[in-house]
Amino acid sequence: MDFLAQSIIEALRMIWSLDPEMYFIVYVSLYVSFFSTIIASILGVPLGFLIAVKEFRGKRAVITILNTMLALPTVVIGLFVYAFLSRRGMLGHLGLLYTPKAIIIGQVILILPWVATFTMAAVSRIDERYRRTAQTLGANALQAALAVAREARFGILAAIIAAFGRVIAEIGIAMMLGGNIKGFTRTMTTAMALEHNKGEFVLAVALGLVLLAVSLIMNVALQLVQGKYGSNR
Amino acid sequence: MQKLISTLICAVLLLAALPALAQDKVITMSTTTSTEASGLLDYLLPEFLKDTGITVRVMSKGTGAALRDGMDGNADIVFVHDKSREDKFVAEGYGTKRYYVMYNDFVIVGPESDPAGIKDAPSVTEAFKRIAAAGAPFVSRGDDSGTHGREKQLWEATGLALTEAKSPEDGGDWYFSIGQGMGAALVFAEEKNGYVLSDRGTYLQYKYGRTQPFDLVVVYEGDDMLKNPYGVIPVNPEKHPHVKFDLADAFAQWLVSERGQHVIGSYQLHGQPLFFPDAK
Amino acid sequence: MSLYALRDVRQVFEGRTVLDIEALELAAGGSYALLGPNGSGKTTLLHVLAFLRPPHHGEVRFQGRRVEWRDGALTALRRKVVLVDQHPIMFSTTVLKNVEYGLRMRGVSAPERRKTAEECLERVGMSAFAQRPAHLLSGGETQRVAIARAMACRPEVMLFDEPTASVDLENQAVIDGVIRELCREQGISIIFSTHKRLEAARLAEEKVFLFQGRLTGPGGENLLTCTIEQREQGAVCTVGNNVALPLRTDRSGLGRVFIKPDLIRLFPLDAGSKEADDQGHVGEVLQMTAEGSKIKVLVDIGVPLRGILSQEEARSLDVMVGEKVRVHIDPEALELAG
Repeated sequence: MDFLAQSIIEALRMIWSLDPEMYFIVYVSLYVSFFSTIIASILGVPLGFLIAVKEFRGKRAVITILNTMLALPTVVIGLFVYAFLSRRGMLGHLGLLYTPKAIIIGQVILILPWVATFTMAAVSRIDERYRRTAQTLGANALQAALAVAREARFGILAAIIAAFGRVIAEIGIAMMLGGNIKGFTRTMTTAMALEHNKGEFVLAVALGLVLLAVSLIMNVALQLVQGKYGSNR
Repeated sequence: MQKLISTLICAVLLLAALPALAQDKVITMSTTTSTEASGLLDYLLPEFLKDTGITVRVMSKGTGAALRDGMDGNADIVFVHDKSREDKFVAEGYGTKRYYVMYNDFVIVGPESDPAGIKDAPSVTEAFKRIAAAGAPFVSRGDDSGTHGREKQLWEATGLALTEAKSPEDGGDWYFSIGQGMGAALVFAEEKNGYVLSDRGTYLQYKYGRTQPFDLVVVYEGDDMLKNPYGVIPVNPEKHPHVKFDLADAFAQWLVSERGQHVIGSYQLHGQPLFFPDAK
Repeated sequence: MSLYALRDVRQVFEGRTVLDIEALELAAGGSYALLGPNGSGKTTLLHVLAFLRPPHHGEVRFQGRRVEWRDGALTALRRKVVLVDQHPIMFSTTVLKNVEYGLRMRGVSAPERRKTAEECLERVGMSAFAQRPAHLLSGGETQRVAIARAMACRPEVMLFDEPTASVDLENQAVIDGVIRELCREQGISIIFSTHKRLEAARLAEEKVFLFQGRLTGPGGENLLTCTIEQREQGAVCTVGNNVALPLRTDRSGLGRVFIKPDLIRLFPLDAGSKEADDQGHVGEVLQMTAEGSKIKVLVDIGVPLRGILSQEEARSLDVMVGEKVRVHIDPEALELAG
């Protein structure tokens, strides 16, 4: 107990003293997670939207595939993307392996199904009459779709926040594709794994506290959004 | 009812205790990945069991984490290779005595084309200087392991003002500190077509012990500064009364005995001796 | 000038024909009430007229031009026609933004949008609510805002689905007033569905009757879908909800039957007439109106039927609207159509 308390006190001192190494790691984590979430949202929100509102052949198959991908472990994604980006792989010549871009690619694959399926669920909950109302008021197909998306906005936002929470806390992809390079691709989670491996705890605990704080903020945001969403229905 | 519950609890506890009962002479050893990954322990521990009836449970990690296990009383004995930290470990009273056991050696692994031209370097420090001068990719374990400790010493010996902060981000895009194990570092170096300081055992495992080819070769070896001594230290029962000091010390004594030294010396990996007996 | 012309329009949902209109013409500038019981196809017809759902079959002409059910063409048409739902959907934003919505879709500038929206809210007496969240209004308030929102689009045609069905009396009066004003003062064509005959009489110049998806409208009100069976005592045709009428035919199966209004005879419930006893039905008088020298009676015997009485007959019948009567339908009154 004494040992844990001491580690936490040291960790708080480190956070308070704005330790540059620690904050750079936090920055890398936030940067990578932010961009993977943005890209996954740009792709996933319209995808989920289309699946929700359009009838097409193979729709069920697409939903099944997305649901399966929800359960994909990060290390599996890491392994597959590694095989593509490795010097021996198809995309090896791009030199992407062990860069933040590689982490972003893997993480986009990780959360794209999340964003898409949760968007789909959120849009499906919106009544067909919203679209009809928009249309009769003169909206064209795109404008009507935007009106429906607007009604589903809290659900979609919740999906995006949940996706961000997932990528910032994952380690498999960041370790396998980023390589945990100090000052370059070392994220909060890979740094914590390393510190534990080194038998050092202060930095790990400090990062753990930051990660906890980020998760807390994300969850509070999610609760607020869902609360608002709930009262609308 | 109460009786039934207590019977059940007893049964569960008994089941959980079974492995311990079956092998009552068991010690836990925290060691570095190199001893286990090289296959030495798989060769050596059965011999020790045959001689003494003691089973050794192995946890392999970096030297730092292994010593930490000893300091926290999570292991009965540590078997690592970072002499200065081992001495400190003993000096601070966490261990009873450091026994010299054996040494192996480090090698510089790199691309066959040897872009930095270190093959004919007169010394390992000169080899390091040439890598830095050429700006050829160099992968550092960066994980506070024994190998990492040795690498830092070697960089210090070059007199170059090299700090860990050298990274792709701040201009020195040739020095990669990846904070991972030896295997990951070798794979990383292969990806980057760069140099890496490796223990010979792990390198041999990657070169010959797996199905995929491994492109890098040993480009520099043999300097005395690349010798890597291993020490074994029983954890001090005065710090942690629960440790099985007697059994741990028996293992240490066996390792430095003529019999133990012979077993170590006869171990070969892919046709090459890997560890050289070093007991004093 | 013809506003809508429908020809052979059929709408089928899940294999069931819910709308089947051979021909219907509606004139521009008119006000029409769509009358009929629940499930008679009023809403389905309104969705066709609002260009929201293409019919399964048939041709719709709007302002003399054939409607093409393509997305791009429809958007242009929809900008001339607005439908106000029975339970209007409000977008989850302020009342004002909701009213501005149609104008925003048409690319109207923000200041002008705001001005028009405020005027329209004023017209329905909802100015005070402009900044309220629209999705939290009551039923009557929602209906009024929805009308303002539709008006703001400055449509040529306004369609209402049961505009006062789910609002209280006070809101109903406001809505009635607004609808009347739209039609009379602004020349907007109005088509609304209702099940309230009184409302239809107040607001509409013309009435269109729908029953089981078919027009039974002016002159053809007693045109009914029926099932004909051959029994021992002769053919029987069943209409509506299990109302069996004798008929002279050797056909059987599905058909349509026309019941001549002048051959429907009504008797007081307590008259004990022998004619009434054997082939009698009991019905409720829903409406009585003067048609020239005759009295038109709407009586519900399970299906709504129109009967024509002479003034003398009506006087001797001596019933009020809402009372029960005995209804005798002579087999001669039934005539198979189509």
